[in-house]
Amino acid sequence: MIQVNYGNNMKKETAIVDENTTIRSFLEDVGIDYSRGQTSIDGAPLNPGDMDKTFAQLGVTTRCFLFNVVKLDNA
Amino acid sequence: MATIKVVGDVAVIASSLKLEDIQRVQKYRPEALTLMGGEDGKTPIFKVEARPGTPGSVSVFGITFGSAGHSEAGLATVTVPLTVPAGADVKNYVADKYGSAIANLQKLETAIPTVLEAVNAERTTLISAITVE
Repeated sequence: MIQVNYGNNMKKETAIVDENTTIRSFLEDVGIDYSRGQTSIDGAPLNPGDMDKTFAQLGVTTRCFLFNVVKLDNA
Repeated sequence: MATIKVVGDVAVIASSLKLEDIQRVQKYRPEALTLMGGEDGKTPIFKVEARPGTPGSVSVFGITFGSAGHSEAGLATVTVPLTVPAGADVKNYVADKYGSAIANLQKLETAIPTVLEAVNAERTTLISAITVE
């Protein structure tokens, strides 16, 4: 189990999940829309194929920060 | 109460709950498997999960049970490898490494049976209301 601090422009929450959960299923379970904006894990942007990788496959073993931030053109 | 057995270079942690019972609570009352804490009491600090067919894992944030014991009770178990430093006492090593996780597991184990009873009662009522023609 790992601790994930997740969120977007509107909210920030904490969850505990199995490290073999994929990023995509986690974001869908907690209701984070990843269709827009940039998703990053511990500050590093995810690549397209990374959404179906598990936290463990991305090297997360204890805790991480997972955020989807929409950057507006005029922001 | 959860038990820990050390055999060779592995530790087998067995819950006092059956794997299928954890799965049932996970399905109907998943929030009951999470221990909340923090300053506001709303931050998840520990979670128990059942994932049959996986190796399972133990960390300070939770326990994933991957299998049921082979005894008749079918209690949820997880087997973790131990790398005990040479000359170290294995009981102290296990207590230091998994102590907080086991303590939190025991807190959940005291609360889950009540939740399970409620789930089973609801399920029995639901099943009795189903007619098959």
